Amino acid sequence: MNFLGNITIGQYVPRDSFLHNLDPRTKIIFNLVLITVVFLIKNFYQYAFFGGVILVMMVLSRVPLSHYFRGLKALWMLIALTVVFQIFSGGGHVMYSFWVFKITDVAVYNTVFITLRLVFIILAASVLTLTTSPIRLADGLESLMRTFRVPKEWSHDFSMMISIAFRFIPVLAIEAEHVMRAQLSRGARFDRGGLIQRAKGMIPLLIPLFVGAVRMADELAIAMEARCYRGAEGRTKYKQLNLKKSDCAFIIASFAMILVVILPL
Amino acid sequence: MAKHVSKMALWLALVSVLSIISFPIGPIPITLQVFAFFLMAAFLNPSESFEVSMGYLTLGTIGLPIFAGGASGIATLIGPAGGYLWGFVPASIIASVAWRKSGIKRMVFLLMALISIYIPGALILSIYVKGIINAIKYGVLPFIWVDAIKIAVIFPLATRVTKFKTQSVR
Repeated sequence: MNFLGNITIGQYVPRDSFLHNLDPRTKIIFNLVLITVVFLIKNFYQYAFFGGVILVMMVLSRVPLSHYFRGLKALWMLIALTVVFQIFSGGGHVMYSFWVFKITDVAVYNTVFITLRLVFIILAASVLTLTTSPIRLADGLESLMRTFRVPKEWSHDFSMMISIAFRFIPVLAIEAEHVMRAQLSRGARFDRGGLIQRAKGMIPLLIPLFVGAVRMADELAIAMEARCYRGAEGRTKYKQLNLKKSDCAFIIASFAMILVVILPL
Repeated sequence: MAKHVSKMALWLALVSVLSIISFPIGPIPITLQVFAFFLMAAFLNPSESFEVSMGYLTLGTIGLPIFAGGASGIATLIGPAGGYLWGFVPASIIASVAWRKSGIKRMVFLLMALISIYIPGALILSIYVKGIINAIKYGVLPFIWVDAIKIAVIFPLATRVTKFKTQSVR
């Protein structure tokens, strides 16, 4: 059974860099723009330009490059899957064929193109998650949602929920492991019998986990109410988000990138 | 107020944890992702289910390895298998409605919820595999029956937990 073990919650690498000090909202917008741009790219020159931008970002973040490659490595399955799907997609002249499979030039072009797209998206997203702590991201999301006129109640609940879940994912993972060990020591077997029997075997594991979670939720609610939590109403923040000049410049620069891609060069 | 938030947060954490833990049932290890979403829907109302499933996607997008197979990030969401993740949003809402019905209606709604996971899944997959028929052949048919079994297992489980819930925890 595969447990969280040494799971890293978030990939944030604390550093003191230009990118780290930017407002989380700026970085989220920048990321969305970046991903839009990747989808608008039509040729390899634009990819080269875009690759340059990403490289500058990676250097600016002062996070060791190995962290970025670790992100790519984690998603190698996804990349491999894309390559396999694309390479046999056909069209154009046949370059190489064996048995029923044909590899054509158009398919190779498409494969390289779409794989690069995926790699760039992964790298762009890594720039965001490596330089922004999860809590700041949640704050940024809440504030962005409010900018886009999402009701205050909803956006506050949402970001609160995410912040709490951050704290409780490791707790519940450990709890699940404890329950499993406890049931194993009582003679439960999770790896014997047919499909139905094994599915039934999950019940002694899941029930205590759910009940534990429901209890935790109750205790948490009481603890929050004891501290006068009233939702979004009248709530203030210790750390305020504020957009600086560098943030504005950064947002403008990122939108300029869309122009570079759209304009015929 | 606090109860509402804490309940959603704990379900979000539970769904995330159950999505990562894989069990060696059958030839390939399965996760309880679909299972967890449908169970969550049994305890939350449709709007809460919507919020939790959006929260799940957000948490995964900002870098927690909570998507199936320990994946995370925007690339997973728009990759070949990303459509299934999008499908969890409508599915959890429909499933949540389903648990409020009874008898045959509940079955029909649960089935609709299951299908609503696969529709966006197959649509996004079809961009990668050229054609919706291929997408259904490789991306829907081999998996849908396993998920149907998972949902069948939820029935006794949900009734048991509900019983417990009504007894001691409001």
